[in-house]
Amino acid sequence: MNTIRLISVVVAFGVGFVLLPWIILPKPSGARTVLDHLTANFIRWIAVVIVATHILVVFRLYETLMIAALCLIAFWYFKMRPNGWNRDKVRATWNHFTLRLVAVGDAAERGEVRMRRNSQKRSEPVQTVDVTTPEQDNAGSTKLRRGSRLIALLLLVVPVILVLAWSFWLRVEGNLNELALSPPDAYVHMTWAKGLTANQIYMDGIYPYGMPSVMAFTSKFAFQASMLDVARFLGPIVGTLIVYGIFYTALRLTSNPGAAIFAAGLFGFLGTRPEWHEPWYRQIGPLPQELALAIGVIALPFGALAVLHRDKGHLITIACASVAIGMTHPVPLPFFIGLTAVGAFTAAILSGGFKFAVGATLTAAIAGIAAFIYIPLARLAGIGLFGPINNTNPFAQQGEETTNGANLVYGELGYNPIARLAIICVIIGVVAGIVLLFARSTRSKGVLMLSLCAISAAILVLYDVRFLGLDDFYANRSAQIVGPLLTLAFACGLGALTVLLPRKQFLLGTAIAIVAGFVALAAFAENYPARARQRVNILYESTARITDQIANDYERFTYTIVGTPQQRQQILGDGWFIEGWVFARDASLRSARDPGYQMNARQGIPRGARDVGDILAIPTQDVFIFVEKEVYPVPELAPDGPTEEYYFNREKRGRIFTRMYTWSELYMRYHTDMSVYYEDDEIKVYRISRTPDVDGAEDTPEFKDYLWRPGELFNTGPTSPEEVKLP
Amino acid sequence: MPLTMPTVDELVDELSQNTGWLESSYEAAAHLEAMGLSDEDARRFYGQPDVFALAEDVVRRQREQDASRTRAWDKERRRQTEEYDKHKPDSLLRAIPRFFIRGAVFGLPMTIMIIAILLLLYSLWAYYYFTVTRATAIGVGTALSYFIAGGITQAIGRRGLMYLRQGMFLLCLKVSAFFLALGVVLTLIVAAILWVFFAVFPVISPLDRNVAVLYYLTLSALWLCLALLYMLQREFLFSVAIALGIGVVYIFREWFDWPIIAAHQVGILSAAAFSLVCALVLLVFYHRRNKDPRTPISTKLPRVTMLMASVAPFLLFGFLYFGLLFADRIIAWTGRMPFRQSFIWFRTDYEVGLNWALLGLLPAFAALEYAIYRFSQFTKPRQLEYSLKETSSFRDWFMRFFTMRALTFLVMAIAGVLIAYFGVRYAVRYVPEIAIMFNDISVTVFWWAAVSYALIAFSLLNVSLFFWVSRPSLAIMAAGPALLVDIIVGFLLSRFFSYWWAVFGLFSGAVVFALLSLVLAIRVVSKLDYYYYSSF
Repeated sequence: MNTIRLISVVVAFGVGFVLLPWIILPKPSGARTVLDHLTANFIRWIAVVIVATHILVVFRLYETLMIAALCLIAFWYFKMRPNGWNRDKVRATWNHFTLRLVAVGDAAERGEVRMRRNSQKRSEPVQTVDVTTPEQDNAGSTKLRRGSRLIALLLLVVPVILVLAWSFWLRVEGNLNELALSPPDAYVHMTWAKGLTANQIYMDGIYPYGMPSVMAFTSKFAFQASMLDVARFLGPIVGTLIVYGIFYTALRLTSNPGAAIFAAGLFGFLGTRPEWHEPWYRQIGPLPQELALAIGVIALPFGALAVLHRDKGHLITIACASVAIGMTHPVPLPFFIGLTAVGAFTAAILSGGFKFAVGATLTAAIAGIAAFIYIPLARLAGIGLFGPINNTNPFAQQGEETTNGANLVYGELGYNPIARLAIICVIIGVVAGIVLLFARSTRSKGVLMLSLCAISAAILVLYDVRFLGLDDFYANRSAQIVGPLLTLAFACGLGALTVLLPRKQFLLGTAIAIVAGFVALAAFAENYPARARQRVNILYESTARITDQIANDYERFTYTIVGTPQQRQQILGDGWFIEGWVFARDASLRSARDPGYQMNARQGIPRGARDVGDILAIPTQDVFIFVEKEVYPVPELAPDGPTEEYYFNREKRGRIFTRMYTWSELYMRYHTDMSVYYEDDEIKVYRISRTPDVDGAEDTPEFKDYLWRPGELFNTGPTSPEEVKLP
Repeated sequence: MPLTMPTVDELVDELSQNTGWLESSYEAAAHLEAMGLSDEDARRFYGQPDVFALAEDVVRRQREQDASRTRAWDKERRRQTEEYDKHKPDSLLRAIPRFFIRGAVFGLPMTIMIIAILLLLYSLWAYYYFTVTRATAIGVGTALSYFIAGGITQAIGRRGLMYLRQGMFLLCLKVSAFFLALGVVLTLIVAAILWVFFAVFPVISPLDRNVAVLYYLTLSALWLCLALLYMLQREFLFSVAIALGIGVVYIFREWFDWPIIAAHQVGILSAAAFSLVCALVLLVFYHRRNKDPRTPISTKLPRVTMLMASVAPFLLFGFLYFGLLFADRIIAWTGRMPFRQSFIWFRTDYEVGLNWALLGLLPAFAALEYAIYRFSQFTKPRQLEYSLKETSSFRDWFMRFFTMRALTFLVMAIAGVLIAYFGVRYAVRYVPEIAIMFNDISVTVFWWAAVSYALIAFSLLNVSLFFWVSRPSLAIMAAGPALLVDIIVGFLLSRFFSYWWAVFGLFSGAVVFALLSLVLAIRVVSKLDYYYYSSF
């Protein structure tokens, strides 16, 4: 079942972001190959999806039917009309089709239709296919015979697919086996994605909604998969997109598939290395920063390409990338603008076309700034910023640590051996680029190679983020952006091999390059092996799994779960939920005790009209109470809100679950409507199944007060169910 | 004795007596040749080069000779009188009660259903205590059954009625059986698709998926069988079938204590079976009773392809029409609302408003039925009354007729809506089961739906004209855009504001339907002579 869900999500993403743009969007003018076509349209489409999602949600029109209608309209205007289709042609085609159908049907009824045998042997001319890149055009196109087409296809496509597939597998393997999302932020984006599908935006305040938009759109095509599954598997997809971006950028700028495979493999296979400054748990979670990084690195070569080809089509792609990045996460945006400018101006210095270099830079900048328009618009609508955004100043404050301390979450600052190796690769790449530049047939290759070297040099400069003088938080984020891009420097080094490859023997040259790429990757991995793949969970896998099971087994909104906020996010839109701390506060032990005991109280000695003793004030037939027998080892966080105070404080978390445990055990002793739904060493799930008193439940104040009173609750009592001694 | 040929004057007298006024020499030539005269005869006995020259002479003499002219016109007048007597329209005193009763009979099934639900708390497919999830599933199945069976119903009505009017009862039976079988196959295919769709897309409660498909199947069977009675113009039997079905539900529910869903299925299928048997019996009876030797009895139906091609526009219109009637419900059930357990979520208040509005249509239906029938009754007599030179008078007469019927319809529609509104408001005081379903939304929906249904009924008046002159494409030209507008407006408003704003989609669609059909109808009536002529 898990595998089906994975396939469903992967196919959904493919349909939503690869197939649909292929069908609907026009071919980008700057696209020279199928890969260019797919990649450019992917970037453009992702921007369209993000912007359109925002608009549709604001007008409460975000529905599958509406999306389908808009896709049809777009298809008509972008593909059909330019090919001469209009209403008359449609009518004529329809009439022709129906008349033919009637004629064939009538002839068939009269027995006049005969099947024709195609017995003619066709002598086909030798078929040729052009597999050259634009840069090889100067050297003359290489036409392959039909028999070599398969080999060319295998050489070009299979190694790439293998690299991407293995990179994806490394990232998805953990998520395939676990339902608990990692990292914790994934729950937030999943919740926001669910909100979008219910036409709600900025549910918790203003925050870039690019990632939830992508998740919501993917979920439209993911049959047999829930939003939880989309969140689980979209993280590895995004992580693999970063790998693809590295591959594509390296390929387009070095024209060397081996160098591209090498660079992609460095991050794809060895992504756990601390030198990339990108924690593994961020590469497997549906996080906006990583999505923005992926978009940025995929779109990186278009600046240089716009200058070299003097093509405005590439500027559109850059603009779309900037918009998508700006609406997904702000941190990668300046890096994208800066690196695009570096690539474009380098190309301009070497080949002219400063107009396009300026155009590329300004397009990236203006589009990126325009993407932030959602902030003032939302503020005008009276929506505040998302609470946890309380640090909008990226620069370190005066008087703080003078070293601009930037304590990285992952990896260390400074130039480590890998970074120093990258410097050498860039130097080799520069030399090769200059050699290519001076040969007329490879001049354009040299321009692109040197552009990549310039970009890599900029990355190397930014690699030690201390000099940027950023706040620790932003320094970390910046390091996480720049770190993976370091692999492009290695592409420069191996890309230098292009100088030595035989130009007239394309297949042989490609084969040599690819083999060299894999050999280099193996050598690198030998010296710098991968590390352990770490996840960051905040609840037990069994909690997530049982919650998912309940959501699948029970009809929507007929059950209530009492548990942690992550469970609420998991069943949002499917079931009702009561916070564990609210339950622990309101559910009194008196209400759990022997109902017979309460008879006297009801008959003559009412004590506290609210607690009538035999009503559980939850108006659903089934109630599931999740108790952690062994408190989950959550990280301790400052009590900025109820979630942090009650669930990210191990003592208070323990006290909450202990109260829930005590209440449940007592209730089960005296009531026949409760059973143990699930139990293991870590958690115990109780199920109450009865005919609820709906009116009575609505009349009582229990479980309805969610006002947070900091520091007032759960300050005393046992912190573990093991400490409880039941009467 | 030598053969004596009639003289030219005798030829003129004979033709004037037998055929009346000769329009041209060609008509005369045709009659002369039918009498056995050839070019050789014309040369030998009449001194004319050929029959055509002889015919010219005959026509000239008829025009010049008073006696011949008088005899010819006497013949024409006799023939006209005979034809007129054959197609004489009913007198007003006879027509109005008869067709108002027929129109009222149209509303009888609905009345029976409403009475049943008030008395028994259930009817043929409704049950007062259905949960919302179950009502949603049944509502979806019901709406789809109308939509799918609607097109087949139109096809049966068109083709079956054509054979019925020609007295070819056996052919009528055959073609009805064909379309019934086609309807069943189509229903089964759609049912399979529906079941898979509900399995993949849980737009209704998964627990009620089978219920939705079950009601869709059985109700489709019911509509298909009732279509036969409708085609035979036995609307009263329609009501009997409904009443019978409810009776069966009652028996199985109250006597055998069956669950309501099972009882419903038996009741629905009983009503369908009754309709089918009645239609069969009637057609066989008519066939046996018909002694006219000119009526062919063992003819085959046209080839399937030709049959389908001829009814395809009517099929399409049926789909469009029922789509227009039901699209707003589905849109409302998926619209913006404070809570829904599934994507499609039945709204009782919206449904109450719509059904209430349908009640107000009963008088309008009567006026509609009257208008349609009187129109068909008057066409032949008026055609006989006016000559070719008086076509503008012919058209003007029908334009006046059409205008009067439209005004009558308008008055009856307004009266019906007001009666329905005040009548139900009065009844609500005494029937608590209705009262608890009422709210402001029901009332608002009622008013807008009442106007919408009245406009749609008015459009049907125009559409019946299009069908009568065999121009179904005009009906599609009106219904297609109307459905599109209905869906677009209803969808946008129900999402932007609230679910019940879908009724404005229905209203917009109805306005478009009425306007387009009116414009096209005026175009047809203003050239009715041409359309009448070309429809045969």
